[in-house]
Amino acid sequence: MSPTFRVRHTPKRPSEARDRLLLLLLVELLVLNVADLALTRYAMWLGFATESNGVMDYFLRAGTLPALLFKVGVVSLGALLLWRLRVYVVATVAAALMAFVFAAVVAYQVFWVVSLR
Amino acid sequence: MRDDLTPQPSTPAAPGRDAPPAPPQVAPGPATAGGDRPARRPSWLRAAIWSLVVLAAGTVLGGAGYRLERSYLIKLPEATRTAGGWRLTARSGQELSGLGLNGSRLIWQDGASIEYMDTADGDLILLGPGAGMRVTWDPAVSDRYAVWFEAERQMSVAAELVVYDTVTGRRWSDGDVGSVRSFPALSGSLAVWCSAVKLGQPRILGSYVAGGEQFIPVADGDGAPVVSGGLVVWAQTWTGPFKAREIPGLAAVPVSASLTGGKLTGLALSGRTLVWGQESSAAGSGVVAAVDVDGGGQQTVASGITGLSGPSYDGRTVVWSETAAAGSRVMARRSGSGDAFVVAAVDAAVTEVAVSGGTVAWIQHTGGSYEIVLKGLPR
Repeated sequence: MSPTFRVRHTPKRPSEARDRLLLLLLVELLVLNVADLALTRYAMWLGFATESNGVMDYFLRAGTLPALLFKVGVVSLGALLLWRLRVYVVATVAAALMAFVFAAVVAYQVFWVVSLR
Repeated sequence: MRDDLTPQPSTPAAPGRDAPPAPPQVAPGPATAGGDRPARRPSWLRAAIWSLVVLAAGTVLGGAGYRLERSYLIKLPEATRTAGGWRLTARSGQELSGLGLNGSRLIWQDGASIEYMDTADGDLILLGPGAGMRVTWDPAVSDRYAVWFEAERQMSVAAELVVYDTVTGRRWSDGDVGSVRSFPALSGSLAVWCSAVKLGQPRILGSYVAGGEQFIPVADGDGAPVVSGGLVVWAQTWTGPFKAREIPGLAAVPVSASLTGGKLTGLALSGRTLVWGQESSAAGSGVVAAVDVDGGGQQTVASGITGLSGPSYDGRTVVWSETAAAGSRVMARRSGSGDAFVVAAVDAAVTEVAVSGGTVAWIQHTGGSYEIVLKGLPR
């Protein structure tokens, strides 16, 4: 008995309204990404935080500019990929999920940094 | 994600009367809006609202996570403003110790946590231990800085001197002090302590914490030093005698004090005046005394004390605590003249006292509950 494989194709559903939402989510994501780096750098400057992500730690040790270029570069690539895949609903869902998580992380950092001042 | 954000007017060409039914239209043509709902045009406003909803939901999650962490994991004491000052009730279930007060700056150790409060606004900050550190020692605070030791474990031979700047809000490590032998003391930016950088070789060391300079070797041997300005004083053993040196130059300063023979309960230095407490195991044997290190006469501040804790001295007032018939009494006596007076009588054991300006702070505990109380001195 041989197994039967079924390939599921995700339907393309182009939508101008969803494109607009995706674009705004990606812009928010890029802004939150920079805010995350700025808050992390500030907390490290204050001496209350260490970077637990080994890759980012490497770039942060090299300097703020290399860390910024790497972080913005990686997220921009991801954003570009999602934009290229915008005909799929899942691209917008993924962008929304990432914006949601980034917003949570940045909000936590803001509350925490404010509590130190 | 709702897909009905899509404007979906469906206007397929009407089939001819005799033509076969048209096949269902597929992308890229517009899809139907589901049911009989009217189609909506793409809107930047609607997209912006949805994206802000996502942001708001994330912000709420982040804020909730922060609140949850503060409530259930960090557990800073609960601060309540009272008529006379502040009352901080520990929520961690750990012992409070290492009380330091300088102006509006209040610092203490809560279990392994180093906590700080600016009494002007009541804001509490968790200062330590830092990442990877599990053990701390009693902190000290001056008019700008706070210092304490942190290490990975209790018997560490590589403890770090950690500094917190109350003005900029920054904290940093001032270096590896080796094995800790005493708590640090601080005056301005000069910290002093006793530690063994080399195994079995304890030393009284100093450091200007703002400058990041090398440690100053004040003297060899053990002791728990106190500092005021550049004057460093320490007792060589738990029963004395006292030694003193000036920084810089490390000139020895002779301290002539008549000690009663009991165990030292505390040592405080302000300007050139050294105040100490001594008590043996006998009831009523506690004595608080003061001496000018430049050769002035020794003065007995209080005697006949049982259960002595402290003293603390800020240059104007000596404060200590003693056991009373029911609980404890926090006592004070102004330098120069006047009798000792009761600052507070509490139905609890007072373990530490501190004084600065016109404010007295003490740690009291009943059963397993610890509190820090701040109260203004009567004028």
